[in-house]
Amino acid sequence: MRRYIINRVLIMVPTLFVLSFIVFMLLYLAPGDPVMALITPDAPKEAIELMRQKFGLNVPVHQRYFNWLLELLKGNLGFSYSTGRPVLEMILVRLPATFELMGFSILFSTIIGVWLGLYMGMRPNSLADRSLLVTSMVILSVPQFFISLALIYVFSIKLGWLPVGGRTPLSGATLEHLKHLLLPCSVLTLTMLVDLMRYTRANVIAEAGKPYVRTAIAKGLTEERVYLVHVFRNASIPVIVVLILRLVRLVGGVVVVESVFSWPGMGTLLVNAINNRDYPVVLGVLFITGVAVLIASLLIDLVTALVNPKVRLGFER
Amino acid sequence: MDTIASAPQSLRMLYQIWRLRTGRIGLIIVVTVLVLSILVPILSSYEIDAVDLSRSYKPPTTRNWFGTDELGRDLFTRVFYAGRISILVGVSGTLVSVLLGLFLGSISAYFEGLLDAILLKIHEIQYCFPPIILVLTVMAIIRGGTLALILLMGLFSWPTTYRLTRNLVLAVKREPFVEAGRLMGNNAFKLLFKHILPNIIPSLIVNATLLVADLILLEAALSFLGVGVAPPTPSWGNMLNVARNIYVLSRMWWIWLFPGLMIATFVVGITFLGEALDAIVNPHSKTEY
Repeated sequence: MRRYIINRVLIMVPTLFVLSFIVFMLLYLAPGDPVMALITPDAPKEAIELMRQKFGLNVPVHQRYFNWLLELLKGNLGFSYSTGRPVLEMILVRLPATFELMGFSILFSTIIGVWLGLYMGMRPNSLADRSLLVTSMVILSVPQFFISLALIYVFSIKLGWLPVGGRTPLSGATLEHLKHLLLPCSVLTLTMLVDLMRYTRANVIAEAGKPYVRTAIAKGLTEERVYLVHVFRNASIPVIVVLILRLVRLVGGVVVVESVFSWPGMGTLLVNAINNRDYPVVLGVLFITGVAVLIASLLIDLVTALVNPKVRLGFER
Repeated sequence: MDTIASAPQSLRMLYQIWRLRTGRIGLIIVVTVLVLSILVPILSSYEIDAVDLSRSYKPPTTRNWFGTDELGRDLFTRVFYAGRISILVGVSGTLVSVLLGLFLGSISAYFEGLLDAILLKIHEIQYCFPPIILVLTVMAIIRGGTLALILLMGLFSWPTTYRLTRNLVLAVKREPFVEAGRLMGNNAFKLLFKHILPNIIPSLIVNATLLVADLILLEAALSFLGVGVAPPTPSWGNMLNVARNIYVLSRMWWIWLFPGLMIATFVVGITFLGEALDAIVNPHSKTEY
């Protein structure tokens, strides 16, 4: 197990290096001069040159990359072109809002998704099962931003129950805070639970065909007990496998949902930075997102290996 | 049944789709939207960009079934013209993505070794970024047009096809008939193209169908955020962009409701079609709905 962990962590180093290089090149190769966005077009040449120097834009590209990388190791992601504030600080300020949204969405979608999957797997091909399967396909077919707009229209504009968007600080009124959270969280939960629901369903069906289930029922246990205690325990182990898939889906969804609801998180930060051509911020958000997902996938792999010895001994793949 | 069995393969496939309820619904939706989008210049009495300022922001009437937008343009006409763009972008993006994934996946699995390891690593990194973030970033910076959008969507969504192709080729490669082909002195590319790939095409078609659905949603989201298909060319996503304005959202429901429903309906159709194909291609893995 220790060797597996060390191997897995060591692989992270070149991966992070490649990631940083790709992210940097991606933005470097793009045309457009960020200085021109900050300065009037008829500004004197010296002023433009001074600005270039200030942002370190006047050195060759490989040097710029290494400068960026060195600063990165010191925890400096550069400074925003538009606000002049440190990028890392801007990201850290936004992170809690995004984590809050993601955390609640993962929590609710996991509970509801597993529960629905178990319910469906217990009665495969029943009316309830088939309608939920069709519903799940429909949910994934409706754009998240359209669901968001429709929810805002119904619950905020027509009924007036919930705010249109934004977020109140956690320290303030809790009820008000939850009201702001409810709609964006619902949209993400809805789209996040589908994969898990289908996966759990398939697992429960596969488990239910195994001999131990027949034995348990023959022993006289009620069907509910067999399913809830025995089948569910075995069927829920692979749930962590789909977590990474759902996490990537969630990160993509956060960008859209946050900007519809003006939720002040990383997604909104990214969209705003893109509109302002604020490259250091775009770079920073991209990099931090990549690192976060890589670390998450590492943790998920480790947990999987812990639960399933086949993985760490290299039988799978 | 004899006539069915002797019919060309594509017709037989169509018949099999039709026999499944989801397949039937999917087929009807997809064909209807496609036909309406193609024939909209004939069906509609309005031009795509016929401005009529005296009739701006009119709710649906018998004259304008889906109402009109801020410039008084007929939304019914624009929704189906938008369908042309959105479907074209989705399908072309899928083509790019599938060709890329197919190529990389088959060489990765066929040659294995170092090449395979490197491609797997790149695929893993790519997988950590949701395509929307990558396309959003690059599109916004290069300010590319629709062609750039198609290429980027294809470029950043190759992992699914890559992984599928790689696994399938790895599996087929071990089959005795491939071994036999190799012993007969066929070279790698002939083996790949003539013997291995034809065996995995059905699964790839299922994958491609579902990818079309994904990419139509991706285009819609990007255009909604203002970096996809640029106005005045209508696409399903950019028609909803105006609804980010709370005034439009609250007072002019028809402006965002119809394009939104259109995306949802068409993507449901494609998804149903994909699931039906999946049930036909992999008969033991799925239940019928």
